[in-house]
Amino acid sequence: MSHDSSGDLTRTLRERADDVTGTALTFDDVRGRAGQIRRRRRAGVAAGVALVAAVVLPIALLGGAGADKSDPGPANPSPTHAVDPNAAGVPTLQDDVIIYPEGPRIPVRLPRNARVMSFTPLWTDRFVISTLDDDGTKISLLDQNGNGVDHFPTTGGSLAVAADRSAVAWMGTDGSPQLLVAGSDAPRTLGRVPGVMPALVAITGDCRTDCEVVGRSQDGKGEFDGSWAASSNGGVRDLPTALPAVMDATSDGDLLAAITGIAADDIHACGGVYDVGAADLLWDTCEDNVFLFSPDGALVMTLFAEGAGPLSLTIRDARSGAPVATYDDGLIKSWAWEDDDHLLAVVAAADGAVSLQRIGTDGRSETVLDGFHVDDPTLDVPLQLPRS
Amino acid sequence: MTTDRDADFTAYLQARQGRLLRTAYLLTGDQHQAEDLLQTSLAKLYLAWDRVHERESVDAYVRRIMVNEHNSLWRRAWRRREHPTEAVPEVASPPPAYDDGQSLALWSAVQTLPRKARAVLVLRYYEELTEAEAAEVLGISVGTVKSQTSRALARLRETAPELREEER
Repeated sequence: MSHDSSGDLTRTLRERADDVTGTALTFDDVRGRAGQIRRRRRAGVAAGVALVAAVVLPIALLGGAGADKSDPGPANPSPTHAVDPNAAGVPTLQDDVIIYPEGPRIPVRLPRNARVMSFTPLWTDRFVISTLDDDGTKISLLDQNGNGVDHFPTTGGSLAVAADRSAVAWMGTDGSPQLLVAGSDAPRTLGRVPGVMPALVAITGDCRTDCEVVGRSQDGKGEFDGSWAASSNGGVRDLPTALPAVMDATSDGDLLAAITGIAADDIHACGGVYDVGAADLLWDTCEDNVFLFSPDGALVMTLFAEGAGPLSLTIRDARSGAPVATYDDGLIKSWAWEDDDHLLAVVAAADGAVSLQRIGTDGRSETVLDGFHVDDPTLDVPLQLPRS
Repeated sequence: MTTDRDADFTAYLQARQGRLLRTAYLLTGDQHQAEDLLQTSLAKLYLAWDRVHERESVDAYVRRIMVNEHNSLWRRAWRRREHPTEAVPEVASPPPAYDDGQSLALWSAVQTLPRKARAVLVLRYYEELTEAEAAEVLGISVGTVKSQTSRALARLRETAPELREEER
């Protein structure tokens, strides 16, 4: 098509669209439709699981989606397990049931209309989940059988987790991170952090002695406004101004990954890895805006998460930024390191098939779990990895 | 109970629904379908709001929902044996106040395109997204955006002779 004809097409589309006005939708209109969708999804997920994972049924239908969650129900009759996180592998959340590859299946008891936004094991015998319902987000501490021990208010619902899962942190409603250490039922309130809409990204150090919760804030206009570290001893320090939005930290705190600015194309972000000891940015890229260090900090996964989700990820050497492996075989819904050399990713194919993939540093991937299906792969999928 | 989350979403809803409705209209070619598509897409956005709104482009996300939802509705209609027609549909809204006839013919031709092809043209020539941005919204490669755009424009040339006559 010639330039003029392209202009004709743009003009025609504008002429047709610009006269279109409709009845203004209210928030209640949208929320009402959302409620219908949520109910339909739950029914659909329950039906899908019935087809592909019959072994999960006895537990999932009793305590999971599709059941009336308004009452906590009787105590879980399943055996009590303390899970060795190093031996049991990385659990997944499937239809409100936490499932270990080589361990127990633990139904999560949720309030009515609540859905899990994020979850993590806390050492060997607890779980921390953040949930969203009509009243907003909430943090719940669960025992090893999935029963609620306590609930805490939060803003945002994001979790930061120690690499060995010995501590979990979330944002309290008063602007202070809350830190829960293994062996304790009560979170510790850390110092108040600056900025608005703070997000926690990592825990460095050993919280049984001394650790820091690392996070970032915004300025109220949606712009990143600085990164900070809140100590378990109560202090809060600013991270270098060269790192307006920290995205992750190695467990020893030696390396920080951060977004440093917006790319020239005004679409992508620029970011990279910062060496705290050298006070220098080791490398950066203007391709990706999510960074996740491997447990030992030798590797970092990067991807560009925007809109419905990324279509590829790269595993890089953390200190050089050199790509070690890439994966681009579907819409990547969630991700977590399995160990120092393997990344797990929940992937949705264009036809709606959802699987769990293990991606190695040799670039090979293998299917760990499959048999899940969704109508629309750009939306939530019935398989979720823990925060790592 | 009104939360900050709901307040944020309401602000987005009020600011962007007019523009999004126009995009929905171009995708569907029908006012009522457009309103329904927009309401469903915004509802899905609301359900994902905590995951999305801190990211860079909520508009890109909701455009993607609209395109996928529109295609999904099409698939469901197909399963119900409500077969599509290749015939030029009736114009669902009155033509603009000034129309030299070419615009109407071109708009009618656009509506004969398959839905995915129409979506590519709407994103490229109405939303004026770059090929990379359109690829991101549609979840396809830049190369596929190029080839689908090329095929869609070729199809328009076949069904809208006025357009072809303008080519140099």
